[in-house]
Amino acid sequence: MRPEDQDRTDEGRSRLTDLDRRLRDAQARRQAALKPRGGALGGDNRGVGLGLRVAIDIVAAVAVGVVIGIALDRWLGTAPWFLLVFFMLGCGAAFMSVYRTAMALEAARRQPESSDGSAGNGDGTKEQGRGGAA
Amino acid sequence: MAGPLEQFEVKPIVDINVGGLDLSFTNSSAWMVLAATVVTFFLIGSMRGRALVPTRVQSMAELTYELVANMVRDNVGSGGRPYFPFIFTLFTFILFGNLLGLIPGSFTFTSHIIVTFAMAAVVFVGITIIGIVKHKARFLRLFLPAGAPWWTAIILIPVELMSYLSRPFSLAVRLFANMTVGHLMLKVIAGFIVPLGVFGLLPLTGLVAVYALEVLIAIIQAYVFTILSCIYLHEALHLH
Repeated sequence: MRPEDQDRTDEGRSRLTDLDRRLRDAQARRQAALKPRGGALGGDNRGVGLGLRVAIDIVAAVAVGVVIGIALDRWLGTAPWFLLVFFMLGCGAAFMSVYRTAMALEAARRQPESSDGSAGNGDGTKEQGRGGAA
Repeated sequence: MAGPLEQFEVKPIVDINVGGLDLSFTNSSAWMVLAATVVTFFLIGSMRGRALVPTRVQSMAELTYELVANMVRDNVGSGGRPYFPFIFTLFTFILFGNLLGLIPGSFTFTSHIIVTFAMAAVVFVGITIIGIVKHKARFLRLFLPAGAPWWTAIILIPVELMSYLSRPFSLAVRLFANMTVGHLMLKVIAGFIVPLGVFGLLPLTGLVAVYALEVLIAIIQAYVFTILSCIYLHEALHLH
């Protein structure tokens, strides 16, 4: 009886490890399929979507600068000095956000080649490889 | 024929006036309540069965859940779990607001900048408070990029501060502009169909295509709004 029992548990164990492996594979496949593409870029990162995104970023940054500048000028009666300063800062912020978008896009473009394919999620932020840990 | 801008009009349904403040229940509020109700019934109804092999509706609900869960895990990372309910609510509310707005004759509350701005402002203020509570004064390091020489701080800190302040606006404008432009386009193209008679078939085909695109945009914009909130939350939680 003993050897047979041993045999059975061995077979059982090997089947279990096999099942384990297959489960892991299936899970990895599913994770890869479910993974949102675009990552830090936020959804659609090609064509019109990206263009609109960058355009809105620029306009928003400059607009916030101009509004703050005009408000400060009106409050302190220093027109047009604060407007000039904050317009410049707004432009700087706009450049900054476009630069960041471009860097994230570049990182996302380069990443799929370097990764092993199981985590090709195009997550262009600095914390690469975090997607696998869960 | 109704003008293309009439679809954006806010009309009071029940007039409510509290001390000179107009708190009327409008068609906008009605559609917001409807969106919240539809989401609630969709999630409760679909998960009633709790089958191991899900039905179609159940797997739709599960997919939505997993989409947001993955988004939070990938973009917020460790410490993002407590914020999942808020992110999920945000996503489903915007998604259903966008999608319900595509039903002909309905009202799209996300096509009003005050609505999208209110949501963006809640996200912005909330995330800033979380960051300050979590990191105290170290939160200010968010405004000086790592590795920058100290003397560049004079120019970099104001610029970073501006870029931080412009976030809620770009978040709000992005959703609002996409929804408004899409609905305007639909209405303008639709306006060509009847006057052109037989040739109206051409704009009709275009309308169908644009409508399909609008459905896609409705989903993508809800996704974009949420994922950007996730990225901002990540920055507040982990700084750089």
